Amino acid sequence: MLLQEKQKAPGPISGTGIGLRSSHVGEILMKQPDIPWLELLADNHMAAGGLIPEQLAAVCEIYPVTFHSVGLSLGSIDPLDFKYLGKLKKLMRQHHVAWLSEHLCFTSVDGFHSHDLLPMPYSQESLQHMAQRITHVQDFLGERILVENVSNYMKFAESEMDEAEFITALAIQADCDLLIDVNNIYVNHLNLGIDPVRYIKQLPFERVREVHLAGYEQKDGFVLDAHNNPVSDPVWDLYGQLIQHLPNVPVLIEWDNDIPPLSRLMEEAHKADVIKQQYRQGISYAIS
Amino acid sequence: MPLADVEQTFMQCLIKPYHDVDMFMSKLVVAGSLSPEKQISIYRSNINGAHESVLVQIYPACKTILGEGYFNQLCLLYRIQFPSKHADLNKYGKHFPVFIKVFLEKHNELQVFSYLHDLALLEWYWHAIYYSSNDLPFDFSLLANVAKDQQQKLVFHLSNTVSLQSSCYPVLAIWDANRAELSSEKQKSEQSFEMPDEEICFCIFRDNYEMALKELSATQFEILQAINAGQTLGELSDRFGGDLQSALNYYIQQGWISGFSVDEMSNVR
Ligand SMILES: [Fe+2]
Repeated sequence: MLLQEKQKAPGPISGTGIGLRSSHVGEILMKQPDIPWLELLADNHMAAGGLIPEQLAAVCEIYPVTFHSVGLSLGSIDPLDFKYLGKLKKLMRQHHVAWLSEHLCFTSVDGFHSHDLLPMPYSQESLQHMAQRITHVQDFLGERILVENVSNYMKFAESEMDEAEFITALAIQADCDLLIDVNNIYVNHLNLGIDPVRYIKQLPFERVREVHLAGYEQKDGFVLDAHNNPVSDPVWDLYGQLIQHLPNVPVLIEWDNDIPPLSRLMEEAHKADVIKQQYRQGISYAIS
Repeated sequence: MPLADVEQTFMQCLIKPYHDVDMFMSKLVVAGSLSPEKQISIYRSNINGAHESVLVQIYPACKTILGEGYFNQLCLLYRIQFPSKHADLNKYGKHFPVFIKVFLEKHNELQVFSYLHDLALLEWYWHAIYYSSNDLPFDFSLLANVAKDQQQKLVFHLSNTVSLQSSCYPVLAIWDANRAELSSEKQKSEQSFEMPDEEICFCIFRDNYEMALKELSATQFEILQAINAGQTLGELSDRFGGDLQSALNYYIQQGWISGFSVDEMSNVR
């Protein structure tokens, strides 16, 4: 079957979705389980041919889909990769992808690619630079993107503001939306000592369009945002804090390593919905 | 320190794992439980792990043969010599077969692994072709429209989803025995492979969505090589005579030939 542009409009992105990983694609296509939406790692779906583009088309026929990318290197001083961006735009149009999210970081510089989410100093220079790049990306795509806070294992002497101030100022200057990863905030709390509750209170809620939940791993002297565990209890508590302000914002479960059966991810998504519902009904959720 | 310097010195710390980090470290401060040294080591370790896992996924047989510890060391050396220059992580590892070849040439004690370059190349093709672009179906009607006086100038195009390889080692048997994790060291030590009498020839290709490999006769292989080198139909006929027609039919049927071109017209697939 050759790829053909769909005619139908995409469904809405609402409720709690799941980050689709290759080990679950077969089950998703065969059984079409009741999941409100899926987030796809765009970089894993950009193969020129073979099965992957066919799977992408098939998944997007069934589910509302968003793209999450790691290759835009929004903070980099290198020129923007318009070839990569062009491919993203083409796929987004072709498959009616609801939106694109990227990360508050750089991944490449001087033509070298780290394939990791590298932090930058939270300085005025970084802010101006990144806001300008996001503006160029949004102009090219013709729509807003979402920028996600990352797990950060580094602190620069030159930082002039904290991360919550930086990401808030960035959203306003670049006129972009935000994706708030609650696990990343908590990992940064454990590793860097940031105050997670204060962080959440500082956010510009009107710009938050998506929330991520994931699990971390205890390593030697730090915790790693490994996405290989269930969402931890303190992260559920923080999530409760956050969604009081965002009752209708879609939520996503990310699980990238030691991936369990799809049914386990659906349980995690259900828990996110239940907690959100409790808040909607005004049931208080203890913050530890 | 301007942002450019921060990013560049940070990246240098990462792509050169033995690089002096003093200059970059002076730009970091203790944060929570993490010292500046620990901050750098976390990123170095994350990046090493991510790159290594890509090579493990592409080169499972090489890893089984060399053992995890040795393979991991090679992964690190490879990353230092060939840092990733492409956003697409699937392209990382492309130079690993050449890297292995040069490494073996420099280390006499590794002569027992002299087949590793060929094995790595096979594993690379197996990986890369899975992601390569699709061909459109071969359009026979266009072939029928080629004027008689142009037919000898016709050049066939090998599909994007086919790679040709030959080896003087029993590389297919070695690959087959080592692709999956072996259950025990005993099983591994029991492996022995007979050297082939003559070079083995094969092609690696994508059959619909599945990867496949087919052994070829020496003539079949030479014809495909000649096609890949851009020889015209006239040149192929002169060289291979009666073997050519059936070979071409078979290649087209397999999807290994994706199109053709002549001076005035082309059907580039
Ligand atoms: Fe996330």
